[in-house]
Amino acid sequence: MHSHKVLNVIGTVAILFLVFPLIFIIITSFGTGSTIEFPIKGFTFNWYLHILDQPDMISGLETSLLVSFIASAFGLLIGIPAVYAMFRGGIHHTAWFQMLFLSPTFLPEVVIGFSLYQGLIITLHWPMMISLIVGYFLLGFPFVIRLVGAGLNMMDPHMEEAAWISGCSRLKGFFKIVLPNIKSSIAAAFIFSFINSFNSIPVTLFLSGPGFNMLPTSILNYMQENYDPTISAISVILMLITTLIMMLINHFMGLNRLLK
Amino acid sequence: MAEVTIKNLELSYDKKHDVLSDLSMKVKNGELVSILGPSGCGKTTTLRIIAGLLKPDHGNILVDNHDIGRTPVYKRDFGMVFQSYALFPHLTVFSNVAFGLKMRHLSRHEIQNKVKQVLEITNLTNLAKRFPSELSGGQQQRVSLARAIVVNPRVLLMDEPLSNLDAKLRVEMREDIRSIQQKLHITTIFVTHDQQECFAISDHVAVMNHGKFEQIGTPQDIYYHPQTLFVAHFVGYENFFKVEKQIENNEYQVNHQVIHTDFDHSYEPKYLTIRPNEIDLHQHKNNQMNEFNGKVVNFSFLGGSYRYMIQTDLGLLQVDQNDKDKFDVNDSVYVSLNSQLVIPLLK
Repeated sequence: MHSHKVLNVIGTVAILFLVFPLIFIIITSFGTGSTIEFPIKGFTFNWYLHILDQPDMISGLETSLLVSFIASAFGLLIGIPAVYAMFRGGIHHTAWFQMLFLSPTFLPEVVIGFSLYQGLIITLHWPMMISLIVGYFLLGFPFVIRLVGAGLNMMDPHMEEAAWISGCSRLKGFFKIVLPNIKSSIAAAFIFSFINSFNSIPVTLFLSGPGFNMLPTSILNYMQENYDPTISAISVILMLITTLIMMLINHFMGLNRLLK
Repeated sequence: MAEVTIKNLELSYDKKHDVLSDLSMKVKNGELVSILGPSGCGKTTTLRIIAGLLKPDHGNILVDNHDIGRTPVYKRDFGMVFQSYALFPHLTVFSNVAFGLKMRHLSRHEIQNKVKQVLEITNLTNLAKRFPSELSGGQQQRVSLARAIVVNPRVLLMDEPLSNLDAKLRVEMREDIRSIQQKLHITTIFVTHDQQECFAISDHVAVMNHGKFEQIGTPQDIYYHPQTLFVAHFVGYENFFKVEKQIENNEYQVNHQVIHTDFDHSYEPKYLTIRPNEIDLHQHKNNQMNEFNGKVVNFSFLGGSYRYMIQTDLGLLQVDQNDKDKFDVNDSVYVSLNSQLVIPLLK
């Protein structure tokens, strides 16, 4: 009983610690002052409207969403078959492959950003859009390997064999039996890689530039010139977008089953 | 419905350690044959090779005299029941059972009819709309069986299908399996480590040890006439006597003693054996054939009978005796081995 109480207290403190900055930002986004201040003196929605007057931010949001989406989709497209081959393909040195695929998580993002900048943009003259997709792909890929791998490992391998014996080819069995049973892992992998790419400042800084605006860089640029609640307002919008994606995916694919 | 022949199957691990060596067996049309053996003996591996889930290094699998070695799993037209049931969790009972029929592109109407029929046989009609997670172990097991037989498989393979069920359900299910198998006349290969289970339902039993078939025969053959030490031990023989030489036609020397036997003396046995409950134990010398003096070393209560360990000139014997004459440790006793019950083992 006693330890139960202690746990409750620690849990509450931890949650407050996580949530408090968010609440703080939400409140400041409605402030009437011309800089971010707390507590706020008056209440207004103007800063939200003010976002619409920032073409850099709007176009940054659009490209950021698009590039993160494409990169995460590629991550799934390449990651799911890779995981399947590693765990069910009967190949050797699985641990080695796994290490290789997870390696982007071991590197500082600055290093990834810089080496892609040097390699793709300076040396190969690739367009920034493509380089960014590659960079975001690298950031998201380890999540696909980890989460989809975990989902596949939880699945009884005999399930697939039962399908084959019932007259189902291996390829068909993958779509009819394997995919439906790892869909919540796939959803989770997509969310994590999407959010991770969307949020990455180091990689974005190196691979975007004049004429190619991403949201993190446009927010940074804006902040350097004006420190007003528009920043808070765009942050709240981002929170809403993230929550919405989570809720949608949870509703359609049952994320809660995976997190249970 | 078909006849299955396994010819000289071999499989090794890393090309060095034999997992299976020289397995041959025939399963006749409509028969239920069990592969019986302890865990790790290779019985599941053998079944997986027959299913096509594993490739053997050598050997052939023939179904109705056609070699199916190159036929992929999904074209073999088999059914299989797994120990873990391996139901599709995202599909209802109905769709689980219908899966194989859909793969065979049957019409909606035909699928409806066949699934309905099989659900009736397996007593699942009321559960058709449930998902596997909403079923008990026994029910899941029946769905798994229904899914395997609905396609009218040429051969039904069962890999320890009952070992996850509790004792009472296990007996019920094995009877259900047997009656369905006979009703539909499906050639079936059943893998188990449970002797009783396998004797209860099999036409023939192949006892397996260390990747080899030790003996193949009817349950009665295996039980009454085991041919090897391993099989004899598996079916409850406990007293083994190494034959030193054949003295006369029916007399063998064991540990410098002579044992008289009744079996066909052309056998050339390596060992003689007798069950603990087939040895007669008494206090006074009766001057019977095969009578030996001994001393009780210890005993334990088995429920209904006692098992005595008795030191004799033949060696340490295990003797089961009901409680009509109770002996104590260090009592001097006589044991006699009925010559008709002593059987020969070839290896």
